[in-house]
Order: sequence, then C-alpha cells, then structure tokens
Amino acid sequence: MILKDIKKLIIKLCILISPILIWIFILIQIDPFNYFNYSNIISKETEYKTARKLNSILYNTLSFKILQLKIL
Amino acid sequence: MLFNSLHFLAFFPIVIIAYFIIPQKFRWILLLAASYYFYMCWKVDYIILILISTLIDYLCSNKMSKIESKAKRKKWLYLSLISNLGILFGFKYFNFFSENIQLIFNQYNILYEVPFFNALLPVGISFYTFQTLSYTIDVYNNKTQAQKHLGVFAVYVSFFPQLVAGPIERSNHLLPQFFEKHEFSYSRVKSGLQKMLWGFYKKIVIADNLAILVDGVYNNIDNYSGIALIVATIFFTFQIYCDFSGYSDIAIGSARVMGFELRENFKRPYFSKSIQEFWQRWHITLSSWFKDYLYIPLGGNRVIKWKWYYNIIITFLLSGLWHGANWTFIIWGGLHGSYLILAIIFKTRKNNISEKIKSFSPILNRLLDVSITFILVAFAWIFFRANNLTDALYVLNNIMPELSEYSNFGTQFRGIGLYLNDILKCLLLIILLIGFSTYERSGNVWNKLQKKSKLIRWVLYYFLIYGLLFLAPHSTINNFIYFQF
Repeated sequence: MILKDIKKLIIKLCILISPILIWIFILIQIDPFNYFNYSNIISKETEYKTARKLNSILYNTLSFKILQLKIL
Repeated sequence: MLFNSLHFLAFFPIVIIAYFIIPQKFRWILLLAASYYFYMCWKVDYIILILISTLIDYLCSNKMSKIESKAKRKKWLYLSLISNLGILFGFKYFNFFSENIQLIFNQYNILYEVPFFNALLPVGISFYTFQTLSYTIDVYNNKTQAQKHLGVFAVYVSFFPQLVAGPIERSNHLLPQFFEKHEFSYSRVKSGLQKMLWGFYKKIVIADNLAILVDGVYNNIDNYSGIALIVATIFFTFQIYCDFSGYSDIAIGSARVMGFELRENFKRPYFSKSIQEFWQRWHITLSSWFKDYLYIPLGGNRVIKWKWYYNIIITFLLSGLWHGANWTFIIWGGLHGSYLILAIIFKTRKNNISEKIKSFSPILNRLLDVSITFILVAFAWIFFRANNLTDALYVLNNIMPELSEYSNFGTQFRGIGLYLNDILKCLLLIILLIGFSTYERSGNVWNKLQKKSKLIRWVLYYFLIYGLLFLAPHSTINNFIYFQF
C-alpha cells in the first residue's frame, strides 16, 4: 500500500513537472538571448534579430560577456 | 533558511525522503538535526539561544513534575520565565528601553550614557520563546505532562516548519505527535503539497508584488500623499496577510507532508464583521496565547468594567510590543485594544442600528460590518508598517486625497518604476485572493476541488506554478515580514 502510494506520488509529480522541464529544454535550445551559448539550432543572425526586438541591452551585455570570456 | 529559496527546495525533499526511510524511533534525531541546520543557515551562533531555552525549560518542567506543592513549583516556573523572557528582553527590547531612557535623560539634561547592546535580533525568538513558555506554564498548571525525552522536547522547541514564524504550537497538541508513527500516505502528502503551493503563491506572487509599491511608498514617505498613501496602505493590508498566512500555509503544509498537524493560524480575517471576530481569525495561535496566558490570568471579562477594559488594553499593548520594539507597534496594539473597548461601550447602540439595517437588507448590514472592520484594521496597519512614529504621523496628516490626484493616478508611482499596468496586475492579484477566500467560505478549497473534475485541479496547479515562474518580481528573494519578530 505504502509503495503503491509512493509510486503514485512520483508519477503524478513527474507528470506535473514534465511541461516545465520541456519548457526549460526548449528555452535552452532556442536560447533567445544567447545566455547559455550552447545550442546552434537557431542561427546567430535570426537570434540577434529577435533578441534585439525583445531586449537588445540584455543580448549585447551577454554577447560582450561571451566575447570577453573568449579573449581571456 | 527561507522557505522561498532554492536552498529550501533542495533541503525539504531530502528531509522528507530521509524521514520516511528511517525507523520511527530515530526520526526525532533527523528532525532535530534538520531543524538546527534550518536555523543555523541563518546564523550559526544563535542556535545556542535555542539550546539554552530548551535545557532550562526541560530542567524546570521535570523538576516541577516531581513536586506536588504548587508553591514550591513556583520557583522553577519563575526560573523558566525569567531566563526565557530575559533572553527575549536582552536581544529584542534592551536597546528600545535604553533609547527611551536616554531620551528622558537628555530631556532633563542628565549627562549619562545609557548602555546599548549591539547584537543582531535572533530570527523567530518571540515565536519559540512563547512556545516554550506555554509549555512550562502548562506543566506548572498540571495541564500537560513534563516531557522526559530531552531529544523529543528539543524537536518540539525547534521543529523547523514552525520555528521562525509559527504557528505557535501548544505542547499537548504537538508533543504527542512526535511519538506517533507517521506512515507515508498519498492523500496526506498531496494535501500538504497543495497547501504549500498556495502558500508559496500568496507569498512569492501576491505579497512580493504588492511589496514593491508598499516599500517604495513607505520607505520614501515624504514624496507621496493622498491617493498614493491610501493605495499603499490598502496594498499593505493584503501584503501582510499574504506574507504571513503564506508562511503559515507553507509551515502547516510541510509539517503535514511528514504527518504532523499544526494549528491553523488564519481563517479569512478580512471577512470579519467586528474587531473581536478579526482577532479570532487573525494570527489565531498568538491571540489565543495572549488570551490563555495573559488576558484570562488577569481576570478576563469576569471583573468590574474598568478592570475589564484595563485587561484588554494591557493585553493588546503587550501584543503590540511582542511584534517589535518600536512605539509604532505599541500604538498599533493600543489601537486594536481601543477598538474593542469602544465596541463594548457602544454595543447596544451598534446592535440597534444593525437591527434596523438588517430588517432593510441583511446583505447590506453584513457588507457594512465587514467594510468598517476592514477600514479600522487597515488604519491600524499604518502604524504597523510605518518605519517610525514620524512617518506614521506624516501618513495621517497627508492621507486625505485631493481631486486633482485622480487625473494623474497612473503617473504617481513612476518613481518606483511602476506603471498603471503594474497597479492593475496587483489589483487582479487581490481580486484573485478575495475570490479564493470567498470560495473557501464553505470549507477547504482543495477538499472541494477533490470532488470536481481532475482537469480543474490540474489547471489550477499549472495556474499557480505559472504565477510562481513568471509573475514573481525579478528582485532578490524577499524576507517574510514576520521573521523580524
């Protein structure tokens, strides 16, 4: 009975958080502001065009940070 | 450790998993270690204060349980009271009294430097002190048995869900629960998690969003007047409720996950029809503490009228002082005491008016009662929120709005970085809270939803999670207001 209850809870929690995990996965893949600087699914040009519309300061700051890290 | 931190998000599941894995007889060790760790995340040194409190109360209660004569037991009770209240006074009130004595000395040109105590106020000191005090007083009055197991007693004093901001538990309610075997139960864990989710939403989404405007106005009070002060005060009325009841919900929910039932602290207080009713619904565990350990021992209402008023005002002044070492809190308590005394004096007249309105429209009568109580409570919150007495008096002098202010309402809060859309978002959150509370009127919301379609429940879960992820303010994690008490 207890094991059944635990199993039920784990399954329900997994279902509950799965959309959030999917959302995080998609976010990392698209990475609109190049925050993670990991995925190349979206071309840099498209990324820049979109990000500039949303928040160009954030995109430029992150780009500068990445560039600085590369130089170092 | 804050409930609304990532640290707690990792800490809680680890404790829960370990709690259900280890055998019942060793669970107190886990709870004690987890509780001390929880407290020490804030400041390691101050755990010593909890240890001192625990040891003194354990010793005093066990000594009292071996003595028959009440007169002889008294010295142990006094030892417990003096040591607990002494620590509380030293850390919380010493500087307040020193400051005021210094002011008096300066007034009369007495050249004497009153000593000050430079120490950080220990988080939750008022809460755990009152909890242990109630235990020793109950043992003294033979209302509860002295706890022989030091470890379990230490867990009772420091139980992490309610250690820093309550609910203030009674020994005969919480202590026996540490000896019960709590098996894992899906429905109970679910119920606990649901309560925690709503608690997090109230704190992180509603209270923290309202806090931006409230803090912006009340921390730069000279820049605001009229309608801005009214909006900030009303927002604070809801902020403090969401902040504190949110904390209580998370505390009750997290304890429930482990199988413990803590006492409810709030019962929709802003729906109260009188101030008396408000105090039966607001911070219930503290008001019942003051009722049982101060108001009734003073004589309660079974005394002559002036003594009854005296008992009420003393209880509320001390309740105000409990909240903080500042005149603003004392005035806040005094105001509530005065409301109650005035309600007693004008009871017959008020009942006559109510009867007339009721015969015309019962709903209107109820609406009027609830509105008047809300306005009185909100008015008293001005003193509670103001940073000092000067600020509170400034609010009182400048709160009346001028007609011209309504036309530029949207621009009033630009200085804080808030636009009309942000104010509307806050209003929507308040409406959501009122809606939830109205639905709660006829019983627990989650129990009611249990009978409804699964889809409704899951939509609500995602709605709340969405709020936590996207509607929470982007600033740093906000402390719970009641942590400072």
